[in-house]
Amino acid sequence: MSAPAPALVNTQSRRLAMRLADPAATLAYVSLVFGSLLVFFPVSFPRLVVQNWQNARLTPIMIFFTVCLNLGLYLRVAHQRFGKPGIVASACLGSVPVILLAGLNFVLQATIAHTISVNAPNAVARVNEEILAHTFFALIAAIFGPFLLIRLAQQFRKDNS
Amino acid sequence: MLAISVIWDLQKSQFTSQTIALGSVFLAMSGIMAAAVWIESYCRRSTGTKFTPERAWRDSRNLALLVFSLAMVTEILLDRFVKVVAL
Repeated sequence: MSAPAPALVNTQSRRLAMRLADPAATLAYVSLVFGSLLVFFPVSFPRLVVQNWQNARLTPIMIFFTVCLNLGLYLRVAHQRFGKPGIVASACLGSVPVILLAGLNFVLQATIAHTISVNAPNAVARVNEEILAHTFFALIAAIFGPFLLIRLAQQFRKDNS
Repeated sequence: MLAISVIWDLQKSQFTSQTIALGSVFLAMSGIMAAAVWIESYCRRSTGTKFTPERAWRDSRNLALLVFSLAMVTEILLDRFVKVVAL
């Protein structure tokens, strides 16, 4: 049995290099969908978000959504570039959104406490808008954060080698 | 420019400081990344370093779309918040 051709070996074992522009398009589409939902369902979509937050379901739903999206995106890029997905990058894609969303949930609690303590008129409506804005930015952070970390790690590895 | 103008609007809004900081950081990052692609392309072309127009175009398009969509949603959120405050 003959040995595999060197070109084939190199192609199959090539480590995957991510670029920050890869998740940018997906992030833009997620953002556009969020904006469209806000425009076309200005009452029901924010109410759905706030109700899920009150029932403590918003963060688990966002974690599930972002982890699935990130892993799908990573595997799609790996498939397109014939790269080998790394175990560290996969672990990063699975764990960083969880850490980020849990951390940002504490920030949201502080934001709501601050809004209520100011005693501004229409406090409940303000809190709802804060939850909505925070959900959007947390979604962006959870999708973009892991890829930013992977990109920085790639640069670090390149500089060391 | 779009990212800077939306950050300006965000800074002037009555959102809490945490929300303003979060939004400003993401808008600034996406704006800087989009600008970096153009600067990198220009530098590569002018210095004769390996330059792939297709890759530069794809990256530029994706990041411009990201900045545009982030700016659009942030402005929608700001508009909603202004209406709530005015009630």
